[in-house]
Amino acid sequence: MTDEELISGIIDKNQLYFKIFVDKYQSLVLNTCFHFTHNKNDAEDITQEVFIQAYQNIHKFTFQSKIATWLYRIAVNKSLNFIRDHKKHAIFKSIENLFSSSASSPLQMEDSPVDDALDDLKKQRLTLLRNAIHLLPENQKTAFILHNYEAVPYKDIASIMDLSLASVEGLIHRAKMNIQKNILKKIKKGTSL
Amino acid sequence: MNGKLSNNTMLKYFNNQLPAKDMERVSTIINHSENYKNILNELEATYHLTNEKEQLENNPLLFSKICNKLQNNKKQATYIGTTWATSIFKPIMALAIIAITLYTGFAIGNLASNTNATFTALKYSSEFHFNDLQLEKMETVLLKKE
Repeated sequence: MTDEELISGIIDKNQLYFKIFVDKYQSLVLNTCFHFTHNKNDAEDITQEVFIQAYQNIHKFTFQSKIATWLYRIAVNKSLNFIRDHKKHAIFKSIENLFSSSASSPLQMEDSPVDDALDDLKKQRLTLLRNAIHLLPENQKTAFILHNYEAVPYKDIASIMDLSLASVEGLIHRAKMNIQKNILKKIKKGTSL
Repeated sequence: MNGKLSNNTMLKYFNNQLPAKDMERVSTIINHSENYKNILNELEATYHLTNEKEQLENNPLLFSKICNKLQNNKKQATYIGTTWATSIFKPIMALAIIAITLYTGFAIGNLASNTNATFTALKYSSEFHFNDLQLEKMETVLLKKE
């Protein structure tokens, strides 16, 4: 079934077409959200929001881009909004913790089922890498995740982020450099060099 | 050989971005320091993890969860509509009650002042009679009786 048929079926309020649509694009949306949040439950919640927004606005889709590109854009925006909200919550929590004795970490990256099978050293390295990615500016993070984990072509990333091809290339290069710099800083801190 | 390497130099060395001469110099420094070697190995191992694609398994219940959420959103939209109407209606009702109370009070007040006016007129008219009576002195009245 083509995307055009799927979309016209969803516009006609056909539940079966919507189910096929969700099944077809679930992996794309879920994994994109997971690479932003590094938390399975949060990624699933955001994925639900993404499909709800897609369902409610499907009649606005004009086929000027691929449906995947459109879904990536929604997923990226929802994930970035989630991270912003989470940061605000963390700030309020830290203020709250100032007045109470209990302390909690501001950034909570739960172990995903993927992590359970890993050994401790690899887990530590993965946490280090995720924190390094988390520290990137939003546009670098988006470009890096789409390119590195989702294997989205530069041209499509440019379309998703509404940027030129050269800007995307620059963002990805800077993201890689900054990730390495963040990792290096943490390693040096750990070894106290 | 001793020497301190900055983060930038280490990263450029890591990415082979230094000129050949500098690459050689930095390489010698690193080879003579266990710490630098360990740091670069750790950086390599950690950064290498970016090549591993983490994939979550699809959730078979996702579609039903989305449908439930869509239903809840519809109900919530109706509820929000109702609460919105209630929130508008409540102050209107309160204002109307206050207006009615004020008007009733004003009307009762007006009625009382009208009654007062009639009463005053009556009072003055009776006073007029009394005044008339007062024109005649008590002695005159008694004299007439006699």
